[in-house]
This record gives sequence, C-alpha cells and structure tokens, in this order.
Amino acid sequence: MDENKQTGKVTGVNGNMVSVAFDDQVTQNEVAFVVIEDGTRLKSEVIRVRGREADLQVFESTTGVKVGDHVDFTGELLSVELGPGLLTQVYDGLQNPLPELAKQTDYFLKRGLYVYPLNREKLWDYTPVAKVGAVLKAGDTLGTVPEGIFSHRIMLPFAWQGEWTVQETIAAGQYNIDTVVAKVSNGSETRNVTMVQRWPVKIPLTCYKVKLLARDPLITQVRIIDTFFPVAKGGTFCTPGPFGAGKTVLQHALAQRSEADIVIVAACGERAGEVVEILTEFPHLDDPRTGRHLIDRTIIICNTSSMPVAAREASIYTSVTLAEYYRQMGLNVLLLADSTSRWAQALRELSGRLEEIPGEEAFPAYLESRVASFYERAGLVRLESGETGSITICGAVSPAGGNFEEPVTQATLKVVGSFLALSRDRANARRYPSIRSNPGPSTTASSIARKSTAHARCFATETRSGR
Amino acid sequence: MRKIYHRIIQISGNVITVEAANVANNELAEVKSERGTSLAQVIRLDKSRVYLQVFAGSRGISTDSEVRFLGHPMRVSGSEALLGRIFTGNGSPRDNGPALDENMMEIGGPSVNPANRIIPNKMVHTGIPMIDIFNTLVESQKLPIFSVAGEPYNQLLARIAMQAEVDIIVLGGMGLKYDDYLFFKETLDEHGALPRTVMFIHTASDPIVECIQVPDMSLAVAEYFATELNKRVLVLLTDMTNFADALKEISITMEQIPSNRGYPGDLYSQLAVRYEKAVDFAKAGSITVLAVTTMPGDDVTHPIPDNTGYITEGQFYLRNGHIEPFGSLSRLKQNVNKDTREDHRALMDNMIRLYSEYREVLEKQSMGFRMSEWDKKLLKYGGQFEKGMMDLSVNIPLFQALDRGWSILADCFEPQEVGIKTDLVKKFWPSK
Amino acid sequence: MLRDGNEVGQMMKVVGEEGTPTADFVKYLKAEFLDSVYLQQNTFDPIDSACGAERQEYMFDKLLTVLDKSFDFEDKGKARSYFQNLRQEFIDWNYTPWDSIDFHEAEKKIDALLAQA
Repeated sequence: MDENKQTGKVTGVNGNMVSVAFDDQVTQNEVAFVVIEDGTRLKSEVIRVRGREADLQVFESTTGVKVGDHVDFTGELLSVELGPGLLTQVYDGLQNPLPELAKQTDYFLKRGLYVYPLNREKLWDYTPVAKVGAVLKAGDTLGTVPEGIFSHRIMLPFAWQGEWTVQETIAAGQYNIDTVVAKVSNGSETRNVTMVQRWPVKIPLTCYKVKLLARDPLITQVRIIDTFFPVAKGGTFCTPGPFGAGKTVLQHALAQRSEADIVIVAACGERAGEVVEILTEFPHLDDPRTGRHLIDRTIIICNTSSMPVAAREASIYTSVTLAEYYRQMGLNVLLLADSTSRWAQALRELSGRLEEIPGEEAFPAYLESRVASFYERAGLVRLESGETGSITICGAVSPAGGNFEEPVTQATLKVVGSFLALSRDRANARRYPSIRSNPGPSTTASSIARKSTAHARCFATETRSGR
Repeated sequence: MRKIYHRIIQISGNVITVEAANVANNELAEVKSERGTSLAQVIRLDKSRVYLQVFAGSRGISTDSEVRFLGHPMRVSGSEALLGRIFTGNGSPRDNGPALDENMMEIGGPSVNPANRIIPNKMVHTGIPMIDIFNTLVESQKLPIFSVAGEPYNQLLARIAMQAEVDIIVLGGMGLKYDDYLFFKETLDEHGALPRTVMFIHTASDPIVECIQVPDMSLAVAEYFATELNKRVLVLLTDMTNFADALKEISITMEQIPSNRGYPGDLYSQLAVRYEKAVDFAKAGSITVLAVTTMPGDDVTHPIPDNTGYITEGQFYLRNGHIEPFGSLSRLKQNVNKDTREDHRALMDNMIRLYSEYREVLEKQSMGFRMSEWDKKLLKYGGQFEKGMMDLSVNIPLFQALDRGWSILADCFEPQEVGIKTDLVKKFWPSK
Repeated sequence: MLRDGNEVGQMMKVVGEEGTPTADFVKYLKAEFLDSVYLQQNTFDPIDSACGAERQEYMFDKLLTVLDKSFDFEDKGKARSYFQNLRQEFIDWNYTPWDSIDFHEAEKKIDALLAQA
C-alpha cells in the first residue's frame, strides 16, 4: 500500500452511506474502499467533506460494516477505461464486465469483486497513423485498430495538455492493449502511450472544436416518430410514461433499428429481465445496414433495480462518457437511458441521508441542474479533424402515478429537444407504439415533407387529443 | 465473548438505541424484556450509538432491558427439512415442530448476476383464459395481483398455485387474517401440496415489524431450492401492502424524510430487491413470484401499486370477481405466445381491441343513443366475451380457449371486420 | 371548415352517430385509418418493425391519397365497411417486404379498392 495514500476509519453507517474520519486530506468525488473484517473491499465515492469527516456513498451492500473499520482512499476520481474491446460488452455501473464476474463466482454478484473492464490478453491489429515527428494534441489519432466494422482510433489521452511530439512509434502488428504504441514528448517530459486511457465519468469530454446545431434527423424506423416527432442526430429526447405503456419495448426497438453507428444502453435501476433480452437476442439479430450482429455496435451498462442503488448514478455517467469517447472518433452514437427516474431516486435517497434540505417531492434541490448537465453532454460536434460526430440521448422517465407534473419529468422536459409521451390508454387499447404527445414545432426535418405531415395532422386522432 | 448491554438510551416507536462497540451493520441481536425475548436488527450506526428495529415491537422494553448481539445478520435454514413446515415472520416454528438450524444462510443476499439469467420461455398453464390467452404467465415471472378488500385474491393465488407445474411452493404471508391462513393450509392440503410447501406466516395479530422479514426469508429459501436442488419454485406473497406499510413505519420512526404520501423514498428499491429474485437459470431451477397487493383506496397511483407496477413484469387487476382485460398485462407473454399457436397473438390483440370498442358502445348506449348495426354486433360480442372468456369459473386449456375465441368472433362478425390479417383468418375462421 | 378527426370523435360521443353527418363521419374514419395503419406499428414483426425512410415516404404518399380523397358513401354503415376493408389491405401490405413481389401485389389490391370508391 502506497504510504502517500490517505486512510481513514468508519464513524457511522446509514444504509449505503458511510461516514469516515480522516487525518490529512481527501478530494470530493474521490474513490475509496471500505475494508470490512473479512477483508472484503467495498468501492465507494466521497460525496461530502465536512472538517475531518467525509461521507461516502458505497456502491455495495453495507451489511457487516462496523464503526472503526479501515478505509483506503485511492486519490482518483471515479473513472472509466477507454480503449478497444468496449463494444459488445455488458458492464455493471462500475464498468465490471458481468460475464467475467459470472465466470469467477456462482450465480450471484459477489461484493467487493472488481475486474478489469477491458481484456488485457486479446491482440488487436494495430496500424500506426501518426509518424515520428508529428505534433499532436489531446484527442489526435496515433493509430487505429479495427473494432467490428469501425476503425477504433487510439488517441492521445484527453487529459494531456499542450503539444506532444511523437518520438517513437511501433510498427503495424498484433498487440494487446497495454502495449506501448508510441512515445511522445512535450519538451520537458516523455510519456508512453498505450491503447487504453482513463477518464473521470463526471467530467464532460469536450475534446472537439465546436458544437453544432443538431438539425438532421436520426432515422429510428418507427413511423410515428420519424414522420411526426422526428429526433435530431445529436439531439435529446425523452419517453415519459406510466408503467405498462410500452416504454421499454420502444427503447428496445430504438436500440435495434435506429440508424446510428453505435448504441449504448444504460439500464439504470430497471428490470434485469429487460437487459437479459438484449444480451440474449442482439448477438443473433442482424443490423441490415451493416450485415453484422447488432451486438457488435452495442455496449450495455447494466445496474438493475436490485443492484446497489449508489451505482445507478455511476451507470448514467459511465454510459455518457463511453458515448463521448466514440463521438471523438467521428461516429454517431445513440444513448438510451432507462430509466433516468431511478437515478433521480438514488439521488433522493442519498440526499435524505446527507440530511440536505429537500426540494419538491423530497428530491434534492440540485435535481434540475444534474439532469440538465447530463443531457448537455449530447450534441453534434465538429472535431479538430473537421469530421463530425454526435451523441443523441434518449431518457426514459418513470413518473410516479404516471403523472407528468413531477420533478423528474419536468426537469427533463425543460432541457430535451423532443418529448414522446406514452399513454396508458393507448397501451390498454393495444395501440402501439403508445406515443401520444404533441410537442411544439420541431426544428428537425421529418422523414416526410413538412407540408404533408401538417396536412395529415388534421386527421390524426391521438396526436392532439392526449387520449 | 459476546458482550451484553444494559443501557438502552432511547426508545422511539419500534426502534431502540444502545451504546455499544464492535457491532456490524444489519447484525442481529436479542432483546430481553419482561414480555419475553425478541429479535432485533441493527439498522444504523452512528459513532457509539447503535439503532435497532425490534421485531416484536418495543412495548415492555425498559431502559435496562438486556441486549445481546448475535454476531451475524438474519439467517434462515436451507435444507429439505423445510418442506411441509410452517414458520412465523421471524423464522421460529409455528407448527410446534423443532427449530431448524442446519445450513444457515443469510437472507436478503446479493442480486443474481444478469449474465446468469436466461430469457423466460416456459409457459405456466393456468386454465384461466384471461391469463393463458391474454396475459400469459411465464416461469420466473414476477407478477402482482392488484385488488381491493373483498375480492377473491387469495383464492385466485391459490388456484394458480394448484394448477401451475412447479416443484416447490413457498408461501409468505404478511398481515394475514387467520382465516386466510387456514384457507391456504386447507387448500394446499386438499391438493396434496403440503409436503412440497414451506410457509412463513405473519398474521394480522403479530407485531408489524416482524412482517418485514417474510419476503426475504421466503426468497432465500426459494433461492436455495432453485440453485442447490435445481427445483422450480413458486413463491406466493400476500399482502405486500402490509410489507410496505411496515417499512413506512420504521422509516418515520427513524425520522427519514418521507417521499410520496409518507412512504420512504427508497420504497421502489426495497420492493425491487425482493421481486428481482424471480429468475430462471440456464443450468439450475427457477423462481416465479406472485404477490397480492391490495390498493389503498383502489388507487393504482398509490405509491405501493405504482412502484410495484414499474418493477414487476405486468400485473393482474382483480375486480368484480374477474381479471380486468384493460390494465392487466403480462410483459413476458410475447416470449411464449409466438410458440403456442400462430393465431395466439393476433387473436389476443384483436379480441381485446374489440372488447374495448364494446365498452365504448356501452357508454353510448347508456346515453340513450340509437345502436347502429356495428354497435349491435359489438354488444353481442361483449356479452359472449365476458361469459366465455372472462368468467373465472371457466377452466379450459389454451388451445380450446383459442378455438373458443374464434367461434365467438365468427358468431358476431364477418371475417374482414375483425382486423386480423387474411392468412390467419383463412386458416382459423370456423366454417359455418 | 375542416373538422379534426378527433373533434368529430368527441362530438359523436355527445350527439351520437346518427346525429353526425356522413361527411364528418368519414373524417373520423380517415383518422382511425391513419392511426391503425401508419401510427401503429408491430415491433414484434420482422418486417413491420423496421420501416425505413424510403418506405415511410412511399406509404405516406399512398395514405395522403386516401386522406385527400372525397368519398361519396350511401350511408355510414357502407363507409365503415369500406374503411375496414381498406384497413385490412393496408395492414397486409405492411407485412410484405419492401419492393418485393408481394409488396407490389398488395399495392395493386389497394389501388383497385381506391379506384372503386
């Protein structure tokens, strides 16, 4: 154990929140491990510091934690690994590959078991792009490896400031992700670049030139959406609805048939069964545009309703960071978050334990700004290379009682571009998709000329009534 | 050596506070009072203060009552000796049999790794057309029966249990009326099902905190049978509303900021953790969960049914003695209804749609409007649908029920009026 | 004045079908038709579930001809029957693969039906 790393002792346990006394210094959002008697290490995150006491949200069950237990602070923010091998993976909210975990334990998720997100042994076909002497900045391409049908770019780490000159670069060949593919120098130090880098999930990745206005539609192949409620490539939309209105079936349809390059599904606090459907079916379903299996363009982040609540937040941020990574490669990413309400509820639980003054319906006062900053990370951007990439975010919302006048739905409506409200009445009458809303004018081009759709709207029964 | 503590510094509702050291979160303790000994569980630690929820309630506990920590969280025995036995809400025998202490397992254990689940794909035949055709039940499904007092929900639960092809039944009663407990016991006995049943019964006269453990104990036992002995287990829970109310009481006592209608903000997660134990394993058994949830005020937007609906894979509304066609839903039906018969789906969708039109016509009729030819057809259809499909006394296998569906349609409509695609109509429409 | 299909639906609840002029009733039928064949979509069917932009445009054009067409029905019963048949043909059409023989066959049936009214 590094002597420079902080340690502390547990002073209190309240559900998934643990209070810790420490001596020197800790950082907000720093990752720490609570070590219980039998040696199990529980991953946690610092969410409040007051004097010499820190409050941590624990990403596991806290059964067995005692006052006096040891805590190790890592000095690092909650981060993800970015590199080849992300596609086709099924991760939990902390980027542990679930199939890997399943190999190591029995049927159940074992506490304190954390695994590398990316396979260290697999060999990738690397082709160098940047030559010796090239001057690079963060996000510039050093080389590429094929991942599915994509050219996965190995980029200069986003955290590195300034200009770096390539000193050495390896030849084309088969290497694993920890191989040093290049050495770069900025004049005062030389660093090694491998195929993997890390990025803290709560910090937006903004390594692009400029954000553009999202205008062109993302074709979903769902008629009612593309024709009447089109979604912009790089835009944001939400699907609020009561239970039983068909939210998840719609999200699965979007995951399967939308014309996006990459699809990231963040299963946040919802049923495990729904994720299992994707896991089981996508490897066998074809994407007609590419001829490959759907799973080849998909990443699943899965923190279901019975998995630790604190990790729901991690799943939301992990998924959007992975989306930002692929956007950097000039790809169009669709991120489906089902459901953002569960994240909001996790925030509410924690806020209660922190004894913060509650806002409406006991949600924290900062709910709106958190929701807004999440959706803000979507967008159509122009990269330094001149290419464009985009992230389109679709957030499902599960309002209590199906009533849209609640804080999470309202906070979401304030920031998203379109709103596909699902109606239980339509679902009960078996009219699917049960989309019923009629939002304001859209700036996105529909798949059909505007005049025709306006004309057809005169006839549309559901779209105006809200039945 | 486990220390015994004699200083209870606070008693508030069913939660006591003791000053103690070296106590683990969720650890179990025994509290001795003049009323006897009760189990208690650690729910919060704050420096030297330990907060415990007392299962038997805090009545009779004084500030010098003895508290002895047991060094482990709540556990239940995992063995075949459980079969045929009846226990209380805290795991002690209710049937005058011996206490079991073999293979003690922690309850409320970790989630199943989603990578180990398989897609539910085996239909559970119930003989009830409203279920088999319209809301097909699937092995490993988790489903509530939403209802109100006075409806025969326990009877429905028992009927499904008797007709389902499962190996083991685990019955978890929460706040059960004694009569209902006897009803289940006798029904299971009549069908010879007692020897393959385990019961954890908390009655309405037992202290409320004790019902909180019932779902976890039932599900821990179910997990044991499914993973160790590869059995298909059916878990019946009734009534989850009592469970949620017990959680609410504790939460208010702990001065947690309440959320909707006074219920704890984590009600969703508390329910989810239990329901998500329903699972089908590729190489082991399965757990199917059916839970009765009575709706306070018959209001489905009440936090208990509302949160439940978001968690479970559908719901059955039991009203006026039958399963409501609208609102009742099995989210897993599409996993199995493509493999039953090719007309299953189309028949299901269109019969419901037509029934919905029938209900609109009833409204029209009640307003005194003249009925058109189409309306008259719908009226005839509605009556036949209710009698032949919705009535809970109907007990026929699936294919017979599908055929009945076609004959009802043929009796009331012309082939092109029902909205089913032509090649199915050609195949199944009964010839006159 | 053009009345909304939905508005007609609402009106019918109050004045009843017999109080509704046939022309308005046809408007209502058109709205229901648009809903059944275009707004609704079967996500479980391999063909109907994926409706690309090209197919949407093609379908929509055909739909518009129906919505724009002025019909002259004897009575509401006949109007309803006609639309039920038309709906049936469109639904069958939705299940045929894009630009296949079945697709064009189904389209021919629709065109024939439209020519009749």
